[in-house]
Amino acid sequence: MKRELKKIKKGIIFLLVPVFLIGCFPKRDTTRDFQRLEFVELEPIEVPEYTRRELKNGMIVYLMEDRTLPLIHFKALIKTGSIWDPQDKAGLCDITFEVIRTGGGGQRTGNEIDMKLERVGAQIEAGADRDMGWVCGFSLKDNFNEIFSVFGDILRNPLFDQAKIELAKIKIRGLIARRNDNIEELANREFRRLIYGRDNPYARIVEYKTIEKITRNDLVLFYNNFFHPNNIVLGLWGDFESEEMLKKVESIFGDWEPREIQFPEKPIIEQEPIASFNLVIRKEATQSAIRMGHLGIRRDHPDYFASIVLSKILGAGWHSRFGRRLRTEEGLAYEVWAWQTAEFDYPGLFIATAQTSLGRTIEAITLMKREIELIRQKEVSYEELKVGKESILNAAVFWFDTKDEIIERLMRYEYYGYPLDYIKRLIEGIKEVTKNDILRVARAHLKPDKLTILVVGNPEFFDKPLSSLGEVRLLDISIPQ
Amino acid sequence: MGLLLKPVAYNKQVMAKAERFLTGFICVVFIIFIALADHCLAYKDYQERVTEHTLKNGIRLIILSDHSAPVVSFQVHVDVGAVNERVGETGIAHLLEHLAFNGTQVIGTKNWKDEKKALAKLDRIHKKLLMAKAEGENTQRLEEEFEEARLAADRFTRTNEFGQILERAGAIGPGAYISYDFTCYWVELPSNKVQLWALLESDRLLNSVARGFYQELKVVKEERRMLVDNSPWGRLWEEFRAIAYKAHPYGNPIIGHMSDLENMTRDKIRSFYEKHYTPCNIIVAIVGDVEPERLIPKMEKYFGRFPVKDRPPSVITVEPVQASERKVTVEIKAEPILIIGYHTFKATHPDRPMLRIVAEILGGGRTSRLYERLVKKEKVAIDVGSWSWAPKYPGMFYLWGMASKGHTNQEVERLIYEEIERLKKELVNVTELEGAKARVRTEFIRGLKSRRGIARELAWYEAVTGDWRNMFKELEKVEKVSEEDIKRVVNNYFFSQNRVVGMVEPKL
Repeated sequence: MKRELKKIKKGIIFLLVPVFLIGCFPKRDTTRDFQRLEFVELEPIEVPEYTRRELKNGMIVYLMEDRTLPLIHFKALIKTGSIWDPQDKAGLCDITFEVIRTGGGGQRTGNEIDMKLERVGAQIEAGADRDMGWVCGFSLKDNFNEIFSVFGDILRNPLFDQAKIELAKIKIRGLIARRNDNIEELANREFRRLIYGRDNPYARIVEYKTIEKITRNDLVLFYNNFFHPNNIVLGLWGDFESEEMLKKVESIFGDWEPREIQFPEKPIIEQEPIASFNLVIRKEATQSAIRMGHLGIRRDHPDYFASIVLSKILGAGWHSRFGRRLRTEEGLAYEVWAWQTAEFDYPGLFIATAQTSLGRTIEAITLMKREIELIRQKEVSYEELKVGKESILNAAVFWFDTKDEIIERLMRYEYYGYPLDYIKRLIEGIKEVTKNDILRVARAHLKPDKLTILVVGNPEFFDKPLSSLGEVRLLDISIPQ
Repeated sequence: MGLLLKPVAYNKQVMAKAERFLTGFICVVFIIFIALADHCLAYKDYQERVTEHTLKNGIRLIILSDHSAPVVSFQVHVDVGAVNERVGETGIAHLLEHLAFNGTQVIGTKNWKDEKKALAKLDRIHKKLLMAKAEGENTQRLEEEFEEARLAADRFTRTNEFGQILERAGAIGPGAYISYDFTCYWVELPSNKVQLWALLESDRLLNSVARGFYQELKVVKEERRMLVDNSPWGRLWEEFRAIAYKAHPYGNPIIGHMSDLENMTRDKIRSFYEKHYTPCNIIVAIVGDVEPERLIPKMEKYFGRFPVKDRPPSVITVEPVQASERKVTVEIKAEPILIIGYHTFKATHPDRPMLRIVAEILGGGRTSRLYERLVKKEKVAIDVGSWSWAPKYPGMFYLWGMASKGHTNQEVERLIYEEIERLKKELVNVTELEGAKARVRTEFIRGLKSRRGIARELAWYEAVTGDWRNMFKELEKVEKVSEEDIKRVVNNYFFSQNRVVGMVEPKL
């Protein structure tokens, strides 16, 4: 018995010693062990409930309830765009959308509409880009009925007041006059024109003379071509009950007659990439704006998913080679990145950009180009791939964190004819990208020997002449009067 | 990592002036009451979901739970900005904001002990280099030595590790911005990464080692060239501020003078950092999928480990009353731009809601007086606007206009004055006033849609007004603004002696 007790005591001491010893050590400071943290899995992402209906006249309607705030948002996407402007009337689409909003609708003048909206803090705006037009807005729930009927008037019965057309032209002339004041904007615009072609509808710009030619009749024709219910995707989200809202939508748009739409041929993009060096001289510039790249891919290209990961590794974000090597290690520029823009409906750009001091212009071009070359030479590291994919996939939860972006994304897919579950396919697609895919896609879609390079700056202060890289073409950006 | 020139503040009204409508239709009053009851709920609910807590060392937490998505928005508001800089050190707060991304003794290094020595060596050479430059000596040898030492120090660096860890965790951001009054660090993360954030953010906030200083300085100089020197708006803004404030540091450029940047040292950075990055100067706003009772102990563990320090002194310089109108013209190859400013007051001034409404009436939207007159009617401008800037120390009321093609700054300026005179003489009408209030109200409600926006506002109100609840109280104050108030404040502040005018004039 005693012996047993001793044994136990020994055992206790034996047990206590290590405990005591551990207690002797200073308690481990865990406040900096970021590698040791473990993360619980997030719940799988669920797309919140929505309603998709097609009205008898062909209008597609999306509804998503969101009761958190007493607000209702609405947006109509109209299948059109500035690519269909006649060449000598570039700017027609822009002016039409501006005056749709400002030129009155139904029984109200434009000024009356402004008053009606702003008295209750509501908004309706309209605009268009190359291949999409939209009219959108919001109001407090309590004012929704009256504001939504104004929205209906604007879409169905715009008045195109002549005075507002003149006002829109004044605004556009003002913007033309200012278009070279901002060097960034200038560089982006001219780069696009180099890639797609100066006068290609995907890049061309509005001039004083094309604005002059546009008449009210052109606006009416443009409207009649495209504004039909069967050419519209309408979305509503906010504080409402869906069935009730559908009735409202029916009452405003239900009796709008559909019509067959004759879309003109889509413009052709036929630029073969060739290496070129282009310069815009700005004597007053203290920095060079550099753009380099070539025609890219469309979003529905099978290589798009791998291209996203490739862009992430090459030129976007903290991890990217551009971010680490060119910004942080070289201190080359405040902003430097590379990306495939991959448009929904036409080939986007592969573009790399930097703003750097004049005295490092050629150095910057060389370094940027080298990174593009390197990523084609050998596989990225396993770590780069892993980190690139994780950065995208872990952040995917933010593609679903507001209802605004969820419904707007669905509408965009509908508009461009993409599958509605495209976002899920995108996530799955990114998961499957391999190192080999990255290399293959880099080789297939990056062409460092065929880069179009544009520099906007003052060549007097460049570290070397731009001509040391190749034959230089001077671009004339003066504004034709 | 940008410069915030315009700290946005939402205002909002709470209860309509029902008396005004009692003389009208009963049903109108009724509808308005229903509407307002609804709006009250909308944000009262938000206010009630806020938990506040002060850590033992003085760091203040404001937490708003929102479980609608598994994400969290973090906003660290440090009560230091360009206004705290001394002569010869402009740009230091902004540079520090950049350096905060370059890591600590733990993050961003392969071996801190050796790196520390390498950095010290680099600093010594840099000092010699600055002295040699000041004496006009040949610096070639020193520059080579410097470059060699820089590369040696860089070998210990894990480039961008701080940002990389967060990015890999699925972050939106991390980013930061700075104004005259404060520096803000923000990031949004999936809600399973809260602890990771607390660890990284607290470490870099209070243990930053200003690594990569010399390369970051180059980046900041490029930022300056891009945002200020190469931009008509940037150039004008800098000149405008320089004449608007001759004594108060609000007249300095936030990004710093080029010569101050050229002569910046790590020592200066370190002492500025140690003085201002103290627990009592820090407010953390957290909005999203978190449980305060589980979060606070974590915050105590990570943010609570830093010792209490003295509160740094606040700015004592007071801008003297302006003796006469001041004007500046920037002649460059660009189209005309006009900025007009009137000296006003700081954030806590009782006239703040009134000028908020004046900004709405003069320059908010298509029915505002300036837009109606200058853009729609006289067609001399393509855009106009106004904004009441009421920060920590006395600010200004701004008006701006961009002349349409063939028109001049002078025409725009004259018409703006005419509209101001009209406001001084005649009372605004009720519909106009109510419209302005309605726009402020919806803007506020829309602001509640953004987690990051809410976090930013909560932190700002707490820092500048002393209580985050003022974010919600602001609305009651806006609601009480009357026609007479408008007339009074316009007469009070908008006179030529109190005015600053800046313009970009096209150089032919």
